[in-house]
Amino acid sequence: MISSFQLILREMRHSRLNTCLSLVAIIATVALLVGVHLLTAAAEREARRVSRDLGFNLRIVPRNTDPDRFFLEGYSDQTLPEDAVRQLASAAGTFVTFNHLTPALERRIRLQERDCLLTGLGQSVTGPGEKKQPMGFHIPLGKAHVGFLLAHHFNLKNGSSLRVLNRDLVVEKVLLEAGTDEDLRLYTSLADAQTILGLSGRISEIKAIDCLCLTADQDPLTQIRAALEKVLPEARVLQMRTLADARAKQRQSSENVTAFAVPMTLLAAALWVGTLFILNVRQRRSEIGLWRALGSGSGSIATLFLGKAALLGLIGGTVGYFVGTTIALQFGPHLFPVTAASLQANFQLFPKALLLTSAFAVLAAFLPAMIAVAQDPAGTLRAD
Amino acid sequence: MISCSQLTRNFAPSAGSVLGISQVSFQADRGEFVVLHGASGSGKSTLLLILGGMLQPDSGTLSLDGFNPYTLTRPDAAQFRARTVGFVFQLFHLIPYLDVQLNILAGLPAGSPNATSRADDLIKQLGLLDRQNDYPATLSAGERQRVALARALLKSPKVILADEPTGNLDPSNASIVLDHLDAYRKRGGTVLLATHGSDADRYADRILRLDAGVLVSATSRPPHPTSPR
Ligand SMILES: Nc1ncnc2c1ncn2[C@@H]1O[C@H](COP(=O)(O)OP(=O)(O)OP(=O)(O)O)[C@@H](O)[C@H]1O
Ligand SMILES: [Mg+2]
Repeated sequence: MISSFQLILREMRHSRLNTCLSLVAIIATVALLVGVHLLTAAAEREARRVSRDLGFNLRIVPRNTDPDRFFLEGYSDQTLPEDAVRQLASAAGTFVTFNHLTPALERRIRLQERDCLLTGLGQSVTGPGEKKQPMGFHIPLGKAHVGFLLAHHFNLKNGSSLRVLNRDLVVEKVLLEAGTDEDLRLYTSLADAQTILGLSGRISEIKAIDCLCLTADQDPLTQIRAALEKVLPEARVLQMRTLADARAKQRQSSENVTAFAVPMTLLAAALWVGTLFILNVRQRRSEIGLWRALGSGSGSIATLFLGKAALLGLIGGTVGYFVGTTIALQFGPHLFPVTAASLQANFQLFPKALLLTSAFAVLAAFLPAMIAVAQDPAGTLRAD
Repeated sequence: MISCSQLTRNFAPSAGSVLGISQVSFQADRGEFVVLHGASGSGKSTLLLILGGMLQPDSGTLSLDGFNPYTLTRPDAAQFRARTVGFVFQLFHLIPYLDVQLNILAGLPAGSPNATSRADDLIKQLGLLDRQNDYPATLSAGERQRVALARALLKSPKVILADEPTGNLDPSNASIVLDHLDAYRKRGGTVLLATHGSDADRYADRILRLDAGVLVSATSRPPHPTSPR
């Protein structure tokens, strides 16, 4: 007698239409899920990136900052130790609601008879579970980014040199007109700002982007404050509420879409594949009866049906994975131009796709096959 | 070899209850050729299925080669069927995706010794040589019947239960089939053959008659003196 595997192959060749339809169903589902997975990840990256470009929405400042002066001047005149950033980041477990922490030192300074704002920016620390992504804004030692107005006043261009109090800097970038106080700002590295201001090891605030997980009505600020109280009692937090709220809403809505679309796809596919398997098994009821009449055990009969399902799952999962990945890589870059480069195949998804698909196919075939095997052979033999 | 008493089986189709067989008792010995007559719907197939361990009777007892297949566990019952019973179905029941040769081999458990050469012999003897690589869908009813017979014969079971095995065959093909069953019986097998017709009577050691599910007569002498035996 030939092996179960050959029997399965012969049967699949014989019932080509059913095999093809089942395969198409599985491939379409897996492709869709893989594609959706890659594209939602891309969409999330894109949204995060775009919202990050909107700026920071949390400002963590020294507790003894006078709020009135803070708002009048736009910065805290108090300082925190620079190490506060690391303290915050290492308490990630309890203080989970940030994505990027950037230490900053801000002061108003006098530059050749003109007032301007000096901002020193340190290295960003990313949040827990987040891939290290350098912030858009990293300024090397000895370099400066100059606001639009400032550059105009002092006639600065890329590469110009600039003496700020005791420190010589080279203009790395003249910023585009922002229409905010940024136009009057001089950005340097944190270390340079500390040297210039004589505030070695100190910062005036930590800028952060929170996780944007909660909308305004969920009152994120109270939660953030409670968390901060534990980790860094010498600081207080200010949230730019509208910005944060808009982001959180955007994010939640896109998550809701995925949370709805993925299970719906799975359900539709489950019904489709399940129906095809049930039809196939029903068509083959008299065959099941025959195998039993010939004395095959339930196990070897089940192998025929479940083996076929597993095989279809493996083939469909493989093809579907590659089809989905190809589609995502083909269309993704047009959909998400900003983060196009980081859209890549996710190979960890492959074994998962295979395993889940075959498990699902086997599950779909299991019930009808077991029902048929459990009957008297005579009953199933009459099924023609 | 076969011994049954008071076998009864009713069916419950859409409306009411239909009698399959009622209180059937008889015995068949090793090497015996028993022909079962009866009108359509009289319960012949039902009786054969019960005897083959494929349809649980409502009541009555059965002993086949010393076992009651309905008291065995499922795996044991399957093995028992594989070893003991060869069935030739009224509707052939060939596997559509296997060719003639593999259909015949499907009757054997995996790894049976020189199965292929014995299958080839049967293919030759039953005149299926030029069809051995064809699929059931392309065969005539008579050819399918011969494939089904070859499948049952290949495993040399203790009992062959043949349901209308000559119903679709012309006289010469019918003779080929009956001769094979006769040869099998002479090797010590037991044959129980259900039929409307009288083709098989000349081979019969005994003729049973079912009427509306009830065994009404058992003739233990072949009625035709032309029996080749
Ligand atoms: N699964 C079933 N469900 C309902 N009724 C059944 C079933 N199987 C058999 N019957 C009924 O039992 C009776 C006997 O059927 P059976 O098939 O044994 O007759 P038969 O003698 O083999 O007839 P034929 O010569 O036409 O093959 C019939 O009335 C039939 O309708
Ligand atoms: Mg019948």
